[in-house]
Amino acid sequence: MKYLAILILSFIILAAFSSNSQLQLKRPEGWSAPVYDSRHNPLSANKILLGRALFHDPILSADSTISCVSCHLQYSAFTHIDHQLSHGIYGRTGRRNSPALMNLAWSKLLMWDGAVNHLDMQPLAPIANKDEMDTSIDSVMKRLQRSPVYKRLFYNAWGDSSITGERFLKSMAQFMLTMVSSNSKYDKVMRKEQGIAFTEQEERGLTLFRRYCSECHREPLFTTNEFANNGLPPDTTLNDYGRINITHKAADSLHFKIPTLRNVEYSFPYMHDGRFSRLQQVIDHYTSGIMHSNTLSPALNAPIVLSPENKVDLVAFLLTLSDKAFLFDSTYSFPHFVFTP
Amino acid sequence: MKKVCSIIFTLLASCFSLLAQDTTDVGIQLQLRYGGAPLQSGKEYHYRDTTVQINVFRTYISAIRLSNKGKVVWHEPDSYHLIDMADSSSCYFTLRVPSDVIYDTIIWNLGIDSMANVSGAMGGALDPTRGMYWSWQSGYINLKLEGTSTMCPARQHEFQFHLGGYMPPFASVQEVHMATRPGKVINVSADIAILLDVIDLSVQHSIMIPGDDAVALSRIAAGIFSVR
Repeated sequence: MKYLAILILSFIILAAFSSNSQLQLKRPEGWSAPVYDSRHNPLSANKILLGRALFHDPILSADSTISCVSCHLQYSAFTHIDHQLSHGIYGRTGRRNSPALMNLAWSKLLMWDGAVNHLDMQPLAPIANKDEMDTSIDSVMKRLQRSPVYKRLFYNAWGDSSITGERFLKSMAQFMLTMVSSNSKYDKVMRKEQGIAFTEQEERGLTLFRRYCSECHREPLFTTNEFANNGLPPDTTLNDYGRINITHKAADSLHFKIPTLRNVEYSFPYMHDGRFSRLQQVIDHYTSGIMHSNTLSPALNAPIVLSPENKVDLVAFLLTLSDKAFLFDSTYSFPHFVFTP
Repeated sequence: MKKVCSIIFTLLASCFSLLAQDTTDVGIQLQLRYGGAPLQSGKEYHYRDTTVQINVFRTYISAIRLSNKGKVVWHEPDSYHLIDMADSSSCYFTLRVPSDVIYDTIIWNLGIDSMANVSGAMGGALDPTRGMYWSWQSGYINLKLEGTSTMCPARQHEFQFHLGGYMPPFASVQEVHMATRPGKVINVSADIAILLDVIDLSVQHSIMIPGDDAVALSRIAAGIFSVR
């Protein structure tokens, strides 16, 4: 009987420390509860590792040249810098600027137009898109099923080596859920960490930010995760009217997802079509570029007047949203060790 | 030690007795047809003054319930079935119904409810690798019907109907009620001609997105089923 007790106890301890024990979704202090319900997809280190391997692996594209990372590079807050419109397979160019990825557990709808309704389902879109990975989820599964590395990773994560769409998607979601950015200077100041304070200029920027920007770019996520028309005249080479394509509602014309401003210093270019390459241009748009229409966000009806000094202060504040710990966190990097055992 | 063993034994025994609740297997046999004939891939069928060939017919049947005098008396748990003309085994499945349930009607949904559409990745019949999930926009395709007809002006005379959509006002899932009697097998005919008869392929030959057209055709599609 004594041995049985010891056996059970050691089993419990082992379970607690094994890589398949349940992990909690990271929820920074003061943030609302995540939208993602991890009860249907309990996190484990091995599932996250599998998702991480998949995120970096071009096996997801038709000719094994494009991975998620191709357009979602960690050092630029998981977006595709320098290109207005992200380019994918065979040198093809897509229709939109790839969004920066972070704090996705708090986002109900994904994509610039909200076409995707759940983080689990997100990878299906780029995999099948002709300009991105140009393949299908079932051909990806067949390729993974032929791979000894993935047989092992799926076995470690899910208890057997069966490779299904459900397991693939849930593992990818788990990795993306770990991408939480909450260690910027702004966060540290808000947490009242010792020795960290805004400069006077940043402080002035924050005041301006709260007056003019925070209705849509609401703290602490710096987005409401809603959709809005921010007054950009449509690019006539793209004729992209955003969310209306999904909802078919006239009121959603020119509505696009409000992006987070966290790490905005590194995630240029800006807007759904990447038309602005510098923050200064973005601010100039809000002060002097707004196109009025009946779907314009009410928050932009009244003109925003900023002096050149104001604009510099505002940018100074936006730079406090950079989270170097996130951008260089090695737990998101290419897991070479799983491919070279 | 003996005591522990006997407790475990009793627990296990009670579990088994719970599981062994008296149930009857009720088979559901779908008979895919085109008018009077069995539905076969590549076969020519009469369509208006021309002919039609069906290459793909796949649909979800979900939330199967049995009712008696208008009251639901049993529902199948996790009830999602993908019916595929290319896989005859998908056209037969069994329901484990408690033996004492009396029913006069079988009810199911043609398509997938909105809850399952917004709940993330799922497995089995709902696994997105089954070819019934849109990629450019989230949501299940409730019914796929593809084929060719000389009447169809599209490329290579092909028509494609992918009916789906879960968001109001374009929710396309349909409830199907069919009178039946308790028995070992319920034979249900699914006659594709009922659906194609209302479509003028010379005008309408492609639906690939949720919307009014998908909803209208889904309503017609609900009428293809009848208990034989």
